[in-house]
Amino acid sequence: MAWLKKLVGAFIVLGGAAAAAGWVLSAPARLDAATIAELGPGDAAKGKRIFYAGGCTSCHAKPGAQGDARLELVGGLELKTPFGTFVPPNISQDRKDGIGAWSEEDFANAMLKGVSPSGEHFYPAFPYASYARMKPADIADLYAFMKTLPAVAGKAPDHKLSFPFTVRRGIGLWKLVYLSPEPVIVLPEGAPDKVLAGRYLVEGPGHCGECHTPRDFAGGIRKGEWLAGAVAAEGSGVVPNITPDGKSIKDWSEADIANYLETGFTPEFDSVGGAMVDVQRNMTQLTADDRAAIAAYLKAVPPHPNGYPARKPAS
Amino acid sequence: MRKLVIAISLLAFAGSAAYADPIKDRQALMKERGKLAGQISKVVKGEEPFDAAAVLTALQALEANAEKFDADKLFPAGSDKGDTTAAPKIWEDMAGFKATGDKFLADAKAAVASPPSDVDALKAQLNTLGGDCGTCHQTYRIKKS
Repeated sequence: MAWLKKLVGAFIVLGGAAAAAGWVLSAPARLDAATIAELGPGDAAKGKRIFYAGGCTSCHAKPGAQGDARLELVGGLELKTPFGTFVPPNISQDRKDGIGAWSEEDFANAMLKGVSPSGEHFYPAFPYASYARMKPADIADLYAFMKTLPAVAGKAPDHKLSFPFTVRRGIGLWKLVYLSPEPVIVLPEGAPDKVLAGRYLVEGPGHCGECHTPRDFAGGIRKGEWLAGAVAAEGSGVVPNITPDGKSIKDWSEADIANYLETGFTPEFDSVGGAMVDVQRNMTQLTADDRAAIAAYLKAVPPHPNGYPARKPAS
Repeated sequence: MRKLVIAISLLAFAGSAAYADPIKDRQALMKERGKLAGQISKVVKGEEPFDAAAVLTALQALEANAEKFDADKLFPAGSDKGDTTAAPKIWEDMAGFKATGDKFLADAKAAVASPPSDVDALKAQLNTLGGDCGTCHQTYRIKKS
């Protein structure tokens, strides 16, 4: 497998997907029949929790929407990244502009494989590299919950990218390197259920690592610096280190972390800020056990130094 | 000797300038606000008993703190430079920034006007006020390290 990764790496470096081998390797891969069979009929009530754990509304609601309008998933936010500007699409139940016409299987292929119903790769700004770790049954529940949300007409504008990132087929190569359903952190045998539950929420639906982990030149997560913090991939500033060595949360207890997720207050009574504000609002919709599990997992991950440069002294 | 005198007077000047430093002033105001929110939170979390009079005093202090939030004075043009996490967005959208400050003041006033009679009522008020903190920090503050 290592030689394959090198080969793929070489292709990305050269920026070329023109070679025949690349063409074959980059083909969109759908879920196998066994996984589809695991989906089963979803439960909308359970799916609500997954919806908020996943924070779908943070990117797919109309920018600035408050209250119930946050359930109108019409898209349109602009995520400005070094690769270009990504615009989350309409994922409301509108049959034409949204995903109202998608089957459960279509939805699962998008979430777990990053493949659209028409067989195109989605850009990984849609964090399916994290969602790929989700249980099929949770995907089914989420699908059922999203079916209860309103249909809103209106297409979001297209992404604004430049070559070579306009070549969607190239994402197939990216997926060979970065897309895997395996957990990031291998926990020791006999790890407490709470920590395992936290790992699932953080690494899977919560997709915390997408912002809190530095990325490599190809935009893939550096798993060796998992949750070490990063220069914001979108917007400005930094996203803090949330490993046990992170200055921000080093002295926080598990209860402090859970309380922060519930109330938005740090133990020093600073408040949540930036993109985390929406995340924290979503976290209030989880159970106290979920928040405690996330806290327990964050205390169990390997410590890392900050994944971003030190702050420049004041000029 | 001349150099030393100049150095000392420069230091003294820097010291006096720090007094009128809007960055330090606004940080002190926010620190105080956080401290007050912390006092209230202890009651909400049940770490301290609910004492209506003490809670009202804390809420009044929060209102007084909010009254002192004068965006023109604390965030003058040019104070985006230096040891600050204020986002450039403040100066791009001063009206929106002031509106978030006004919302906090209005919510603090409302809390004082109808003092909470129990922990649950206080919790609801703290949630509203804490939500205001987040709304402003979401857009108008940048985490730097």
